[in-house]
Amino acid sequence: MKTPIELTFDVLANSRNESANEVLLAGFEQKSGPLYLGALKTILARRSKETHSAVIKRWHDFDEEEREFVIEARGRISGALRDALLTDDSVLFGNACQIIELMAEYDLVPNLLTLAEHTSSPHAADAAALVQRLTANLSDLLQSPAIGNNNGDPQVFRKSVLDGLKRSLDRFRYHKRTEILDAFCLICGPDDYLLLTILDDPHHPCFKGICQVLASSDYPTIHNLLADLLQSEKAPATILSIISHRTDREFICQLLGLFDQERTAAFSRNLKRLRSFSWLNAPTHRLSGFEEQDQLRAVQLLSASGVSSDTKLDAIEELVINGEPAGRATACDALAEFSGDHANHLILQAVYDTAPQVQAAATRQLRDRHIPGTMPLLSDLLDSKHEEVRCSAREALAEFSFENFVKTYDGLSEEARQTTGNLVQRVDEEYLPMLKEEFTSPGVKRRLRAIEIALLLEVVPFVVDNLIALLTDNDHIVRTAAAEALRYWPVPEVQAALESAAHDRSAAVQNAARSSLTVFASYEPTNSTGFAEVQQ
Amino acid sequence: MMDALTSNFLLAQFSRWERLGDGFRRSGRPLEFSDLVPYIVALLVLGGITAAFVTYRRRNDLGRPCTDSQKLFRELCLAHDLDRSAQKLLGQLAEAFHLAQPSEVFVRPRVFSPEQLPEHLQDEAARIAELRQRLF
Repeated sequence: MKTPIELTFDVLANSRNESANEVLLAGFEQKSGPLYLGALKTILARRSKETHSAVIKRWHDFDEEEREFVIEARGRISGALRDALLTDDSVLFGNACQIIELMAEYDLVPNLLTLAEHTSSPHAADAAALVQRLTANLSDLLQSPAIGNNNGDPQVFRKSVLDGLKRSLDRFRYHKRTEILDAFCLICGPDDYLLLTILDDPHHPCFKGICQVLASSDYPTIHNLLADLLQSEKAPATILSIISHRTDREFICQLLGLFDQERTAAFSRNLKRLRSFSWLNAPTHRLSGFEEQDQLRAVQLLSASGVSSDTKLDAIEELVINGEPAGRATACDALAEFSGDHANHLILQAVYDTAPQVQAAATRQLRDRHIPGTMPLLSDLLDSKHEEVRCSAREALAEFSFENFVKTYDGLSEEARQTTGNLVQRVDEEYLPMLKEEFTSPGVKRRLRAIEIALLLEVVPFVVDNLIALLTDNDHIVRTAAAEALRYWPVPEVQAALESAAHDRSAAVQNAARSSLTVFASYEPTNSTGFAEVQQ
Repeated sequence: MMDALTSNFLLAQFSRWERLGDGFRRSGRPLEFSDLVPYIVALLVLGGITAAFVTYRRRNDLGRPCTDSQKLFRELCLAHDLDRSAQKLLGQLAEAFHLAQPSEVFVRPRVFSPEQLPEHLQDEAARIAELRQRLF
């Protein structure tokens, strides 16, 4: 059931009689109360420029609720807003601008552009500023569609606004409104033909202004535009120059963020065309002050760019000395492409870093750099308390493998065999299984060498089963060598095997077995349990 | 078959056809103005009725776009179910307060205040108060 006042306004809202507008204005003249609110709502429900203008004129007096009513009338009051933009009344114009911005009324951008181009109009500057704000709002909407817009499709608005802006840019030499350039850059996109034309033509009236916008704007959309252009198939040289000269932190972070994704061939090519970065010399943006992840990306950027080696080395040095742990480690890795005393000095410095990952990164490069005194250092690092450092040291000394040791064994002096053997034991974690394999190799010489190496490396307890097996070898020399080697492990199992070997058909084997058993007699007796414990 | 039927039908009407061109023959009686008067009167009456009907329809067609303050007043009175005397009283009020159009009384409750009523409407104060109660 409607109240009488509601009934009155219901009739006035639906009446096709234009006289209703005057009645509503009479109700709207009251400053407050249900009649005033009813009149306001009814005015906004009808389509009448005259009454809508009266509402716009009083916008600055409205409270939040009343303003919400006006915003909800989006679309119906466009005509009155358009008229208000063209008026000389500053209050009406100011109110209209506020409403347009709150409503995000992109349909009025062409009217605002026309006004902005009238340099003699007192409202031209405000209109241009409003175009810029509306376009910034639209670009946010385009970047994050999740924000939502009940007005319509942002892409449709983008097209119409962009067309208007392009027409206005054709007349830029006359109006010189930089806000319009700014607005254009915000929504044009990296493939825009006009943008690329302007960037390729230094004599274009908009060239200087566009460069200024791209070089100084702090809108994330402009940063995205620059990043997109850098990844485009043929990035204009102007864009590369702008990217090289920007020193603001937000943009640098955006640029570094590109390294989180896979790099295209075009992007890599364009990066190579970047010859310098002003931010590397900016005292306020030292690399060491970047966040850890950004330091990593900065090293990647420098490595991929066409920046001179000296500049790269300076930047890497700064990171190696003052960077965060991950940054220092990545900087060490990047030093691999640099040779010379300076780089060697940095690597030696990094070997003593407090962070294991930095130590590991430096250790990996020690051997290849042929720095004097590296071997003892690597030998020490093999015993580092950090697993990753030990791994890196083993990686650096990879040539000291058991395989290489066996190959060169015969050519080594006794002393060299001892030293190298010890190193192999520490470097090659797989040496024992490989030694066991040697015991079963078909060549007599190889089996004999395996027995010799087992004695040299003092690993008889670990290969005792293989040695016992060799006591029944076809070759009596091998059996003899095995019987001699087993004297160093006096356990019952070995003793039993040697007693059996003492009855070998070969006199040499018998003698060796007996000799070993004689040595056994001088040891304290032990048992299998003790053997297992010692082996463990 | 069809031809035969048609010729029979035409022959059957032939007696009337004979008188058709009488008025145009020199030999016949000339057409007088008085002969047309009944037709003209009939046409005028028909036109008058049509005009009256159209005017009536237009006056009461509330869905038709227009700029008519009286019509709006009637529309509002109709919505509030006001009788003729109440409508007349509201019209008097609008006139007394020099309102631009009578419909404004529906959004101006102050014109119903007893202390602001003009002298000639003081007698109607009770009805006006009742109307105020009804409209606001």
